[in-house]
Amino acid sequence: MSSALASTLARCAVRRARPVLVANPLVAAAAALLAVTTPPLAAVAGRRLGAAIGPAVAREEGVAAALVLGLALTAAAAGALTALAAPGAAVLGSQLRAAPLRPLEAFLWLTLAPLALAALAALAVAACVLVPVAAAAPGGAGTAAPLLLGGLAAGALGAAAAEGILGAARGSAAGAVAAAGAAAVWAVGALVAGDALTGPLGPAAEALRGREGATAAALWTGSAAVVAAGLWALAAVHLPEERHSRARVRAVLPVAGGPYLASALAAAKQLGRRRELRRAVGATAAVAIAGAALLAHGLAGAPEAGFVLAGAAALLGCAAVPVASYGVEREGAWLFDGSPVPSGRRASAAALAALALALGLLALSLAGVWLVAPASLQQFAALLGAGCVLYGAALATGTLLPWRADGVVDQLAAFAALGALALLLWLGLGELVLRATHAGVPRLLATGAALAVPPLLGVGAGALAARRRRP
Amino acid sequence: MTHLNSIEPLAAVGLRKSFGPARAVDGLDLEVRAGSIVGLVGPNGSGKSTTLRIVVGLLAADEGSVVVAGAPAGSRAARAATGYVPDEPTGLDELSVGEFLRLVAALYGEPPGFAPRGAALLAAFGLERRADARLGSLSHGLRRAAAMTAAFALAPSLVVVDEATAALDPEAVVVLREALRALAARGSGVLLATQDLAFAEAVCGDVSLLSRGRRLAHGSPAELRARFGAATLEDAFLEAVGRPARLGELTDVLGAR
Repeated sequence: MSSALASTLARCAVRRARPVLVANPLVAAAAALLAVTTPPLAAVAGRRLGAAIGPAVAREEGVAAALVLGLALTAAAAGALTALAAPGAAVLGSQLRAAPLRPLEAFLWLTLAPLALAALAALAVAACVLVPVAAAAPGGAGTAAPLLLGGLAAGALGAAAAEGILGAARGSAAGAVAAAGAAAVWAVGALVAGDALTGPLGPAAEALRGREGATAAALWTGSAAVVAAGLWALAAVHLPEERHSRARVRAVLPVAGGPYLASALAAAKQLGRRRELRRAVGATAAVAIAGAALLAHGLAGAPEAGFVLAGAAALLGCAAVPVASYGVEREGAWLFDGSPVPSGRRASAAALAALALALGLLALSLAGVWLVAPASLQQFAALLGAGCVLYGAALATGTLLPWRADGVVDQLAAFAALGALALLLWLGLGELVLRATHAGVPRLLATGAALAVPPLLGVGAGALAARRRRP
Repeated sequence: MTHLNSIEPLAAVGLRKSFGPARAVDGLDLEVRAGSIVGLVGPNGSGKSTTLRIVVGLLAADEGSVVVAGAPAGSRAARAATGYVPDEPTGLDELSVGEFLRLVAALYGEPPGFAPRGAALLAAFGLERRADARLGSLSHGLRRAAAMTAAFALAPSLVVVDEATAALDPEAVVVLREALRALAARGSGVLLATQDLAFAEAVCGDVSLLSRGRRLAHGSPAELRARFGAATLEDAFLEAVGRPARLGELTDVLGAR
């Protein structure tokens, strides 16, 4: 049965991807190129980062801890985001959800297996960055292993905590146990390692500084990853059904502003009412604020570092909104494609609404982080600027790989494509801004123009796809 | 008071289910014996689909007891004893009809006789030549026929069909009717929900009229007609749940120039 489930998931994913790649050969070529070039590029980035960070790890007490916690926060946010968005047995559809499938079997094959494969791919790229960084630190290249395993543990802890809290909110004792267990893993790790800031990842930070052996640290963080995965399975297997509420039919009222404003409002409402998106954004904001609290306590001398590291987790969570935008809009194709409104302009309005919603949610999340770890307005604006790049790229990748609430592989592929495109835009636009400023263009103008490019790209991609979709 | 019989395909007592403040199912008793076909009819929102989803284990009842083939609804044994056809089959659109049937057989532990029953159903529903077609490429009616093929080929103790005739063409409705009768004849219990009162009258031995989650009346179609002094089941239904209100106002508004 398990092989049937695994092969079915894989077959469906391949069959969904094939027409996308055949219809967009340029995209397929770019994806292949990125897959080949990302590891060496990551290795180059790791060497440069190592040259900058390695001596600082030896020199300053908090740098190793900040590095480990920054990695852990991003991994925990990604774990919470993907676990909450993953459809689980819903991928089987309305008929086969009633099949006699064990909950643990469903979790293993429909959720854990695809996410574990994606995590392995992410770890491979992360290793290309972290090995040279660790090699430049006092602990040596071997300390990359506990760092990577620590990232895995943090991801699983984020997933266990998020799914556990969701289960507890629905009245599941197992969910409460899993969430409490995730907190206990951190607390016990903090007690044993004697560092409340890095919890169970403390040995990885110590190894990076050369104060603990890489093997012992790897064993410690690896054990934390196994326990966290067990807690996640406990929460997921015992997750009670979603509480449904019946919608109320409201009076039909005319919408002021014409079809484009109506489309934008409808898109914002659709996205805002998707439970999986609300949970993902809420969970990552919570991870960010909790991380900010830890960092503010542990890095008292550098509060802005805490804001930036924690804010990055919030930045990641809100990306789910623009990634899902085109897929959600496409669900209304039966209405939109038959309406007399030009589809490109209507889709642009919907994409702009998704972008505005994501940036608004990011601003709110960052405000929460700021309350715990205050930073300058420039830092706040810098993260909002990063949001423009990331969310513009998210709109574009969501157009190429439309969001499916019932497709775990599709979601992972969209996030992977988002990572690659965002990296490419970040590096490319950064280079352009540098050249423009050297040529005498005011920095503010060059930066503003560069930040406008990804949103325009994303909105344009959505409009083009909607126009092509309409017969 | 209905007494549970553990070997019956379905015995449900005192089912209640609310969605927020709205009560979808309110103290429903239901029994489906081996070889019988039971129909649930009622207006939209009367609790038919909710009841079926509780029976197949997709929803948990707030109160009450549901036993399917001797096992609590939602348990692995109960699920293995049930074949379910949802009102709108979705998911796994990229699989072909044949692959979908093989997956269903694998998930239900390769029931003996699945393949010949599946082949006969495919042929009857006109899907034989579409066995390699993707589910997502089928029309709504054919997609439902594929879902029925999968559920009926299991020949389970309990067959549950939501919105039985929805989207089916007249030929497929005849196939559905004969398939349900054949399944009942071999000992399966059938529970279906439908808005097609003529179909319910032709197929069901027992019909429950639901309104706002409660059972207003139940019995054979002939008993219900006699009870409400109606010529057809549709008239009996309208007597029981009330005729559409404000039709005059509607036609006035729509017809106004």
